[in-house]
Amino acid sequence: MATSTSQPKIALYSETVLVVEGDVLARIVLCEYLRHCGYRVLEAVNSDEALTLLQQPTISIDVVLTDINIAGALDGFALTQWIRQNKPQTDVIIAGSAAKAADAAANLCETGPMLARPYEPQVVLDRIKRLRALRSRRKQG
Amino acid sequence: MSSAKGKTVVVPAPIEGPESGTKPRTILVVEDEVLIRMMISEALRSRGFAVIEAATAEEGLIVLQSDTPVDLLLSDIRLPGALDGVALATWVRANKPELKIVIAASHLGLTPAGAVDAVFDKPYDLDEVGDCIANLLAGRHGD
Repeated sequence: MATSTSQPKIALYSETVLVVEGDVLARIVLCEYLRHCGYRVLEAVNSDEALTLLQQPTISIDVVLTDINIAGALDGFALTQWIRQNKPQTDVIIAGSAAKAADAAANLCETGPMLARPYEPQVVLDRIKRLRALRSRRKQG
Repeated sequence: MSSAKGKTVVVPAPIEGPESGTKPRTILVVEDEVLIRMMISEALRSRGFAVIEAATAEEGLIVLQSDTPVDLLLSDIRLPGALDGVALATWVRANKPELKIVIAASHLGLTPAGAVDAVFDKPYDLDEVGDCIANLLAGRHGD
């Protein structure tokens, strides 16, 4: 078999998405779908891992998709606030089903209501595209 | 390939494995250090493998006990939680004997002889691990 194993394939990604999701099976589906759509996808199982990735100067993250109920020092809302304060160029999508948090989420997430779980991959993709388009329009304006 | 706003985007080929036209082989990477996990996972994806990331042996077990197809386990030997890499490898040998197992260990002596297909001392070389995995999945041992 020909495995040109030492020669990585060249892949140019449009955007990098960090998915913060503690449910490994949900994370698999979501991340693979986003990769199939052409995104570079980084995975974090909790907020501590997410912060480690976000604070790496060599890693550029365009969008963070986070569950509300994540393990670690910060929950999804606190992680979002941290990103707003420290990485304002990074868009955030909060995913969750906690209706009581909807108002808070609306304030934090400029694009409106949260994504409902279980994730619908196409909805996630559409949301990311809209976020990036909005960001692009603001930059041009 | 697709393009938008003059920017060319080459979509990675998830349906094409190391052997052209074949379904990609799936590697379960169990590593609790997120930066190491990211690096080895991206290196393996760049070779055409499908990679599932797990941060603990418990997460790995959830994947292995699901319907998710996995061809090879690459696990750190030291993992947080009730199970470490040795326990995970032992479970795989007993319950999924067809899976190849590669272990990353800080001290090679910790790895039970014969229980795994390959062992790498940490920090490991990404290319060496990738070559080893490619050989194991191609049925070539000891290359």
